[in-house]
Amino acid sequence: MHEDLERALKTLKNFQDDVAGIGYFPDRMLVKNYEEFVSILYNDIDKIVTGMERNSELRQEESEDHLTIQVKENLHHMGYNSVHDEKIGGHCDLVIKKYDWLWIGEAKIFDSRGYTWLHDGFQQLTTRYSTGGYKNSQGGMLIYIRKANAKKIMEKWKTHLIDNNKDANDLNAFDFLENSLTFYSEHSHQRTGLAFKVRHIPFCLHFDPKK
Amino acid sequence: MNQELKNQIISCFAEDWGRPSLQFQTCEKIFDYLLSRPINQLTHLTYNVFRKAIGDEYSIIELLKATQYLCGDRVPILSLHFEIADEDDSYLDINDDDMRYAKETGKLVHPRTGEYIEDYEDKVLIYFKPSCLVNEVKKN
Repeated sequence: MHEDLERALKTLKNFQDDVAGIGYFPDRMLVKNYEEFVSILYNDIDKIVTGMERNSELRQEESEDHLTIQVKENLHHMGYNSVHDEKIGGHCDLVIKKYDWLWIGEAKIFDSRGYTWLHDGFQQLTTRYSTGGYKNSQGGMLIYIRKANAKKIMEKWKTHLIDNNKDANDLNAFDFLENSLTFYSEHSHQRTGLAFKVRHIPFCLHFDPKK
Repeated sequence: MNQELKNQIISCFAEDWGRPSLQFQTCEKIFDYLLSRPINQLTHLTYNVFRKAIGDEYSIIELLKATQYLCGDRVPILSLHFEIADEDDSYLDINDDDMRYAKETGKLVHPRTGEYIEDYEDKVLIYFKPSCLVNEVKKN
């Protein structure tokens, strides 16, 4: 390939299947505010989710920590400064920093502990770990689902979240049109009163082949 | 040479890619190359330059992975830059603000003529420079 063709912006996108995150690589270098940083981070996390879901048969016995470490390692490969188990008000599952911007992810396996367990994680994220300042006004719930029908689980989780926050913090939930499994919630952060937005990200890891 | 800082950076490569994987070696060879040359000879680093520096046994995929990683916040030893080929085979730099404007509007202004460039993603090229972290490592 001719050198100039090889290093054209458009050509980078042709390598997206081979090099996770390469399509957004220049955009990642150009971010100029917190919202752009988080927006590109979510594109990159979506790539990681897709990659991990492709090999769900290998992820049936892995612990919550092990799965989160894989997310962290993939983010490292894209160049993110990400840390697992960093202490910010407690031991956060996933912390990503750029400049003085902060994004925190709380990871939970959806198992027999059900939606209460997820809600515990949501409360840890929103009332313990996150600062709720304008440079940490978003976070994420990483939900590892080994059970069938992730869509139904996510819908029930959304209902549970709304029902259990009816009187507090004006929580709203809204769908993410590009991916109907994912949704956002937004509420007034307890500490700052600023809007705090959480992306609820399922990892569909169910594996039960019938043949 | 700040050997301690150099070792810290190589430890990050090992932690992130596993030693002695091809990807680890690609990162280490690029880093060695940056340390082996005077900064004024490293002002326009392209994939071809890196390929010649690190050898043919590493694929374009490994090179793309390495440059993305080395430009990131984790181990920032490279910085990414944009340019466009001009009529006389020279290159004109495009600053980050103009690139941001292009991303937002789909319109990139030619740095010399001031005209809009059609299909700019086909024409904008990337290249790299060593970051200040490399200078830190090179200091005695």
